[in-house]
Amino acid sequence: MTALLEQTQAPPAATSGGRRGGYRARWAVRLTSLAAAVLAWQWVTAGDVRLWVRFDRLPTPVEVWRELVRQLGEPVHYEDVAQSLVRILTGFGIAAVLGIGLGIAIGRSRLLADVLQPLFEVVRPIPAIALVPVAILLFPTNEQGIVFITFVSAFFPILVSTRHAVRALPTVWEDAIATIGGGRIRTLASVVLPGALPGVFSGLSVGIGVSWICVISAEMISGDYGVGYRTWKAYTIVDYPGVLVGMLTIGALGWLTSASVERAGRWATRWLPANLKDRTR
Amino acid sequence: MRFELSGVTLGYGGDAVVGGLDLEVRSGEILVVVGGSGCGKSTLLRALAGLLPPRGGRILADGQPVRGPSSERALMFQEDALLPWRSARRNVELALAIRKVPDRRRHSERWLAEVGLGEHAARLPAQLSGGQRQRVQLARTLAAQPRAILMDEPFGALDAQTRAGMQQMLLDLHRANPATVVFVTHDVDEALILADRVAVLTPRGVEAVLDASAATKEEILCSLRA
Ligand SMILES: Nc1ncnc2c1ncn2[C@@H]1O[C@H](COP(=O)(O)OP(=O)(O)OP(=O)(O)O)[C@@H](O)[C@H]1O
Ligand SMILES: [Mg+2]
Repeated sequence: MTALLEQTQAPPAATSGGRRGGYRARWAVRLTSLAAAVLAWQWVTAGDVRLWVRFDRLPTPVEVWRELVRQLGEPVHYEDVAQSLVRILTGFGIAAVLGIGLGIAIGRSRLLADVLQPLFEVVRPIPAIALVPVAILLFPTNEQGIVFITFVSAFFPILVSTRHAVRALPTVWEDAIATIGGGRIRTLASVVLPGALPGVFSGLSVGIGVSWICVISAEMISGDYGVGYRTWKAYTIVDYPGVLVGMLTIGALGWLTSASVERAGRWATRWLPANLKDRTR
Repeated sequence: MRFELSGVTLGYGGDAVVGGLDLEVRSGEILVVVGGSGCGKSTLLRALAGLLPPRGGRILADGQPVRGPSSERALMFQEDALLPWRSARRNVELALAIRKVPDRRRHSERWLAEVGLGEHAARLPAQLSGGQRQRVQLARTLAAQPRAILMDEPFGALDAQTRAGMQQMLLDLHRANPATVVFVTHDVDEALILADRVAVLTPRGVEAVLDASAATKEEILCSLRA
């Protein structure tokens, strides 16, 4: 059939305004896309659309918005947020200190590597959330168990990246310090730690992400407060707008914590050629 | 500081790089080591610095066996050895901090001025040229005030004029404060300008040690080819 062979005329390229106007145009596209998604959400939920996936049960954006405004006016919302933040900062903080410290120790000492590595390799493949029963058995309070789960989840990514970063350090930096008379402590403080920071921060970035997942899951399983607990609670009492507000809160807090780590990392490694370029751009 | 090497074999892992090295470095002299690329000049300096234990033979510094690195024997590396997260000034300050010198900032700025980098003190290594980075490393090595300075092609990346200036600076410093200098280069002209004595290194060992005031370029080139 000749009709099939007929070439359809390509539509004229969308006018993007070239490179100079590009920035605004791209933001316009991004915002429009988001708005369209919200509109589509409103349409399928308000219209009770059932296409195998049952949108009629999902709350509409307007309902979610009202619920969000209501919760923002209640102290318990802030208590939940604060509780979850305290848990993640405690667990993540302990993981950062121990992960960096032990990562350096394992990276530098063959003996410590032989002693500790096998233990870590046995525990590491177990997803932290699978440790919930153990945490409940081990710790007197739920609170401590949740912090423990958060700690375990962030600990391994931080440990492993730190160890790799320490092993990958060019030996010439260390040799240079040795030959102007620097000792062990000086080498650790002036070469190993600062030199490993780029790798350490990639571990911290991964760590903060997984520790959010774990703090929320642990709260859902065994919390008495916290964003994860509140979200699960809303689900059990069939408060679907509450569930969605919980999800949005979790997302916002996750973004906030990850972005803070990311920012700190860029500051701590501002000497890297790639970051130097960013600064002068 | 005086070095004595007798029957020294050096190498990495399974392979020996040079064997049968016999050499004396006299206290307070500038000994220039010349040799082809890959013949083991940097390896020799690493051994003198105590960073590479010899496979065989003995290395003595002032009569004592060299057992490890020490601030008395500072090595200026051929490769880039500055800490990239520290500015030029803070790299030099490191040597001063190890010596616990007070008033480090002023001293390190003085050393940087000495190598012609006074106005670049605040820059990071990545913001300096290759030759400037070498000079910062030189300043850091000198700031350690070692009794033996081991220099591995320190002026390799410099233009002729800056290089001549640096050579003069080294000679002036040496006259004022006669530390022992072991200086590696593959530039025979540079060797003759700086050296009290010139050692010609080949993979078989030290081929010849010539008195720089009497030796000619041809003699050195001839032993290099041998
Ligand atoms: N870390 C190392 N491991 C294994 N072999 C090495 C190592 N460093 C150097 N070598 C080898 O040792 C030999 C001597 O190297 P060295 O760096 O001492 O040469 P060089 O005389 O300084 O050369 P150049 O003038 O090019 O700097 C070379 O064959 C090199 O391949
Ligand atoms: Mg070399």
